[in-house]
Amino acid sequence: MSARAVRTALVWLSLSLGSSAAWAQPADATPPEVITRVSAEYPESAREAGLEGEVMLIVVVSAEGRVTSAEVETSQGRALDQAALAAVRGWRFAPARRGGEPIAARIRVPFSFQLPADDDEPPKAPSASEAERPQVPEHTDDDGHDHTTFEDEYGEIVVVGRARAPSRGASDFSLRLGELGRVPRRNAAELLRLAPGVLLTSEGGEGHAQQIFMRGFDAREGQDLELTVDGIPINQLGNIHGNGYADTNFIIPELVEELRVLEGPFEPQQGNFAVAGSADYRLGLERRGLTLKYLAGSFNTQRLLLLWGPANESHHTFGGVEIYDTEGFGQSRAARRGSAIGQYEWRIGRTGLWRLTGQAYAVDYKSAGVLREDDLDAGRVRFFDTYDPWQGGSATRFSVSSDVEQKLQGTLFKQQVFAVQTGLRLQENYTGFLLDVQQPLQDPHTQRGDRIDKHVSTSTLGARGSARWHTRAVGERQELELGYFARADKSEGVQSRVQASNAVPYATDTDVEAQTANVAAYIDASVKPLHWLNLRGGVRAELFGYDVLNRCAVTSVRFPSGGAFDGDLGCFSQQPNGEYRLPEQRTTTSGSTLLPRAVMVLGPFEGFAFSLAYGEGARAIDPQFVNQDGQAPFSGITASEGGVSYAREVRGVTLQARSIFFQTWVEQDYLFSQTAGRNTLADGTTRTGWVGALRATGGFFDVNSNLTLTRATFDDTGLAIPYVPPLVARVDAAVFGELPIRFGGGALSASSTLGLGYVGARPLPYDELSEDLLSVDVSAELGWKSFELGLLVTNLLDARQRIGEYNFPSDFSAPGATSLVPARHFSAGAPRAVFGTLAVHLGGP
Amino acid sequence: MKGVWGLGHVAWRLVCSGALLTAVACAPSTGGGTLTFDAFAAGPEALEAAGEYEFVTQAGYRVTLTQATLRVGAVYLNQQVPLAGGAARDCFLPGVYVAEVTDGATVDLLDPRLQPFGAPGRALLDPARTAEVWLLGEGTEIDAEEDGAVIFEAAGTATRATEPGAEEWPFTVSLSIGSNWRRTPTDPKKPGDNPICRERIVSPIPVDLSAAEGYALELRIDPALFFRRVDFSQLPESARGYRFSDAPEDQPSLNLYRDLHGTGAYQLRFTPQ
Repeated sequence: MSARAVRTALVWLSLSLGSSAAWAQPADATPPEVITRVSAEYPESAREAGLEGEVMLIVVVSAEGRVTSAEVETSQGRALDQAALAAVRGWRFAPARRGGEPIAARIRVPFSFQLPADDDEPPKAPSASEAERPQVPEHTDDDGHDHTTFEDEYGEIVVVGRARAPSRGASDFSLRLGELGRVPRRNAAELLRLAPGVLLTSEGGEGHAQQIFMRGFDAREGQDLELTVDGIPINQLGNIHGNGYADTNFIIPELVEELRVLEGPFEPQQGNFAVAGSADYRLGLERRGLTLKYLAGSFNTQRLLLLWGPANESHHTFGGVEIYDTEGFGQSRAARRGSAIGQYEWRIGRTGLWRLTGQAYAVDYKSAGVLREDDLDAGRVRFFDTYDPWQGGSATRFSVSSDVEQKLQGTLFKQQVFAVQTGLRLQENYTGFLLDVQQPLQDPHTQRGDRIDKHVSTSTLGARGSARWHTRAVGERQELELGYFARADKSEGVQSRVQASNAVPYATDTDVEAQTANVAAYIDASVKPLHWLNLRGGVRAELFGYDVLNRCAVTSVRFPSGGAFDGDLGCFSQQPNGEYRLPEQRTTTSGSTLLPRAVMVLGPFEGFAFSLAYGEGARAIDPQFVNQDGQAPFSGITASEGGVSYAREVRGVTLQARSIFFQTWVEQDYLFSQTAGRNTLADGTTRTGWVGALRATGGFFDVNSNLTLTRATFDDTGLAIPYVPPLVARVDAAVFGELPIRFGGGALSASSTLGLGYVGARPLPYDELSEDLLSVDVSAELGWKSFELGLLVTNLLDARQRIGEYNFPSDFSAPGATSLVPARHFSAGAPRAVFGTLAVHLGGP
Repeated sequence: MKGVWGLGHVAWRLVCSGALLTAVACAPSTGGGTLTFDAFAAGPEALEAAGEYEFVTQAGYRVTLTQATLRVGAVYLNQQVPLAGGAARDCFLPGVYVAEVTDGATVDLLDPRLQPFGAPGRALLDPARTAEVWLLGEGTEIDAEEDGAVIFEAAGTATRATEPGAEEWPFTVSLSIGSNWRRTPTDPKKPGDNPICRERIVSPIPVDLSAAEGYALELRIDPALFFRRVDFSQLPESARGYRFSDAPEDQPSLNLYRDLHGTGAYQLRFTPQ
């Protein structure tokens, strides 16, 4: 069963130790201070059961500042108790002191778990009697150390759960980063690799969206994966490079607190593009105060990161800005970007939460593209070279969002509005000098080059909202949620062909302006007839409306209209049968569909949860391909799976394991065409596979691992879908703790991480296989007081990685006969890179 | 199709999934395949040995070739079914190219022995229905305006077949393909008609071939068919005998040039090595 515990949203700590005269503490002693605080998770089961209350813990903090023991004094049930214990065991303290010397101390830490409060409920403040009661009367040294006891200095720790939809079975992964956030990653997209079956490739440079493979899907740059950041859509509807293009490079990885990945369309809240599944980046900053981090290393790479989180505000109130610059490895891989994200979260009295988020991002980058394997073999190019140094692009993204969550009279209401503006320019050349064939209407020319120059801009306005009502029946909590999603998009895209010699455009392939409206409504119920049986699901209704102006509707001329055309423009007017027509054509249409989704979760045995899931999804058609009137076609997706998950805590180690069998059928798939430079329609496809995942979290380590096996085939031929990895394995591991070394009044802390990825040989067209991929990334960090010094090494083995391998025709050759037969191409992954980091933390607890 | 996806079949899928690990290990093919092959060219198989080649043309001449070489820049095989005669086409065929030999050779057309191309070719394991022979000098782009290479070079004598020995035309040919053979577009609205690349490509040659491991591509070229419509009596005489002009200035040269592009002179097959 999923460990989709609801994360802590707000933690108010009274950490001004010693500031209250009411606190009883030994004379000449100072209490421990929290240095690192791990938020308590609101357990899924407790949230679903509506459990709230205060868990009081008695915690022993060693002279080294570690939690050596923690026990429950006041219980609120196993789930909440364990959540509080798990959190506090991850805390790190500056130890208590007596006469300046560190000593062990026993303290009391109360965790108050609250779902968003009803407006008619009284505030959950400790009662006078509770506040006055003696907190820890005894002074003990039961572990052989000198303990000093401090009374209730932590006041009330309120854990307010942002309510979320319940788990959708074994494929619903809520991935709390924690210490695994220290594993070296180049961008936020790589966080997706914490979820099973994810492979990321890119031949487009550091500002280009990553190509995402998930569970047998080639999701391209997002066309088959619904990506959101705190609910704000990332997928760009109507992007001519790929409908659903999703560039996550604007996300600052250090601001990602958690990642929820749902593999498969099993939740009524999932919308367009949720074919392989969906992923939601949840932002938050745990460390309060100011953080300044600088990275420098290989390829003249520099990164400056500034983060701040006001003390006494929630994790969801923060600001962050990143400036990045690199010359890149090999030819044509330089990039520079800047990204800023700010967010503020308020409590609305005791009844809810309000959040406001703003974001800005700009990038300019070069791209090396692909190389032919035979050119590498013949020594005509080197591994990190490029054929066309003009490749690259730029991108911008600006967004604002506001959301409110409030419980009123037993019903939880959510409302979010968002606005997103993006810009994208891409120059790519996959085929060299192949496609510019002389046309009769063109002036005589030699091959001018196949470089594509695209410009896309999109504007999105949208909102989503829901109301979740609950009641109790047959002794169990029953829930019903009604919700909606709406977004309006305006996109403009132009794709031109550019001369290799002087970068001057010579033909227009595509020139499309599209306005798209997407309105969806859903019903989501959670029915619990027995305490060990839960039926969750409902239905989603989607409607899409299109208004598309194709300014390049005629790209071939059989009946030229005299001098009204220019043979090199590509978008022609023509005069068929004597009737003159413009190159422009407007198309309006719409389509709707109903999508049932259901999950059955059985948990008759402690620790185990079995789930069966069924869901239908839909991918709306690319606006480029719509026809006038009639039902706009959807590509239907049908997915089902059976899984079992196991969660248990053994001697302070939390174990979570899952095993899932899945199958997904897509009615009409998209496959990328290198010659067309965009996605093209293909036939129906089926993916079948197995996923295994294991996470073990202890007081000094965190390990997340997964393995995915997939068989992906075309329905009509039974042949394998090219490029889909049949085997993906990944291990992320972190070891952390304090070292038994102290100087200058501070203890040394250390952490070490490992990111290990393996991708089996991928099938390529014409029955070829790619090379397999093995990646090893490591890091080590030392912390002392407010300082952290780190060393990161990516691609430790310095493997020559062919991140992407493709078979298609191209001609980048030297003068002579043209190559026309499909040939192996690859995009090179980065060689070994070494980076050093220095971080300084100021302010905060 | 959707009917089989209901929850009722989940159990079936779970059972079937037991074999999944094995199935993944034996991942299905994406279809087709690729290979490299050796490629050769030669004169007609009927020639018993290198040397002279005597034949009678459709125009009524008995020709004896003492020299005949052809520069073949590349050979391609394509899945595209040959287009109907007279249909407009680009230099490249729209279908998938399934084989290519891009490192050319200068072929002695009077030698029936197989002469290798510069490098092996590459092929997909898909059937080919059309072949192209590119007449191109080494290092020349297909759409380059000029090509300094001599594409076809020949020498010999011709007599009337019905009057042997009555009159004899000793002739030489040295033919290149560039602007000298470029045809002027007849329709001013189509300035790109008749591109130079089309002058360099002999296509579409109907074939029914599939590459296979252990087989080599064999291109046999019969120069007799180049001369089938040549009226040698119309050849301009010079001090060094009768010489074909390297431009469409006289009918014999034009007929020779056109039949150089006649697909019947080129025979392709894969033969076991």
